[in-house]
Amino acid sequence: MPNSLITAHSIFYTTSGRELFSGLDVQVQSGEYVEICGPNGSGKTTLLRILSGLHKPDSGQVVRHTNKLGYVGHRLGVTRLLTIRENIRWAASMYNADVNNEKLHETLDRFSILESANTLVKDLSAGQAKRTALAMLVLSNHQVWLLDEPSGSLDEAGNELLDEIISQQREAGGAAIVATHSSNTTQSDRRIELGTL
Amino acid sequence: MKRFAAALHRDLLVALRTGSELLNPVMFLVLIGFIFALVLGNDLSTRELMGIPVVWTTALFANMLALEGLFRREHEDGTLATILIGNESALPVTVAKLVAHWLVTGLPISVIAPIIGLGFGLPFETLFMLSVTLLLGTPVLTLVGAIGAALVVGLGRGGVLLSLLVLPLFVPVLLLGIGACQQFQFNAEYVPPFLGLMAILSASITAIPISIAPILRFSQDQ
Repeated sequence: MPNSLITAHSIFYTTSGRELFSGLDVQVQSGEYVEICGPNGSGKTTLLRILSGLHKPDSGQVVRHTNKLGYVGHRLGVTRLLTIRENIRWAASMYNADVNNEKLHETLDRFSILESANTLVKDLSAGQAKRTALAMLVLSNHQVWLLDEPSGSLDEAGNELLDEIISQQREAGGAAIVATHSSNTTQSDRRIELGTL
Repeated sequence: MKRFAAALHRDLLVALRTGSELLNPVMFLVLIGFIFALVLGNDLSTRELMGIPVVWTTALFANMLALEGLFRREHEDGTLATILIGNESALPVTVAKLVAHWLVTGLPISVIAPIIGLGFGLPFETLFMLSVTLLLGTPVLTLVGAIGAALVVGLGRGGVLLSLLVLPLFVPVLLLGIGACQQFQFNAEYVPPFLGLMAILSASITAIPISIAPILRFSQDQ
């Protein structure tokens, strides 16, 4: 029986005189992969930030039934002056995740960033930095993932890995909410289409 | 406690790797302090009279130099958003940031300031008192300044606004710090301003850290 993880009811949001959402309802349940689709400027990032609690809607209610929310936005949440290993260790400490050396090694290898594990993030490519952010997400045991254009800067193998970790997140009873302009209809359970006004 | 320790370790590591965060306030203090010591001339009584206000005021501005960056890096790399989403992480991380900021700015300033005071011909006991008052005052500057830094973090260039916001709030700390030192220097009653400084520090430690995360959330929403 799936549990509701995030419920947003009757969301209204206006920015710079444009009404982005008028009475939007969103419900995300455990095991779900929800896509937020729409062209640039349609409010995908704003909706993700509202669901995460970073933005408050003008009116309406957002209930988060879990505190374990992981967010990877355009700004990845990876510290540029730390190494990949240090970033992952830090994220694990923040979210009380038990990450031993073996698990860390295995994850770094899986994300193809093992060889750069001791490199500062500022010296990595955009794709490697994105892989680091996703590795941090996987090891942090979040129940809900909120991902903003996660496939950006990832190569084909990176995108396959992204699909794989989202599948595992669903199987583990978590949920993934992904804002994207290139829909992955084969995997997602539901799409929220946002249009420009 | 584990989160606090991890966040403090991370912030100190980043500050050490940046280098400028550690060096800029101290270099500012040294340069401005010695310029004042040079331009005040050879009249020892003037130098002794001006020494403490000059060093304390310079220390205040040196502390301000690092304030704008207190939350900016985390805002720009997205770490701040991830911290604020996880409610449990926000308080230990913000407290760790405040402690780290004081350790890389306030503490070195408090240690270096007496050396600057030597240039003004201040006696040893007064230099000790100067260091003690700075050790009590600089954490307040960090804490009060953090409110301003949290409010302007989402703005592109919030430096001037930050100064306008926090400088008036720094005045009581400045007056009490200078007052306690000068009263001590001239063998007057220094205990009341000293206790005042301790009271402000206690109040700031009690009230400010818990208010930073909500202010940061407010700034993220703008």
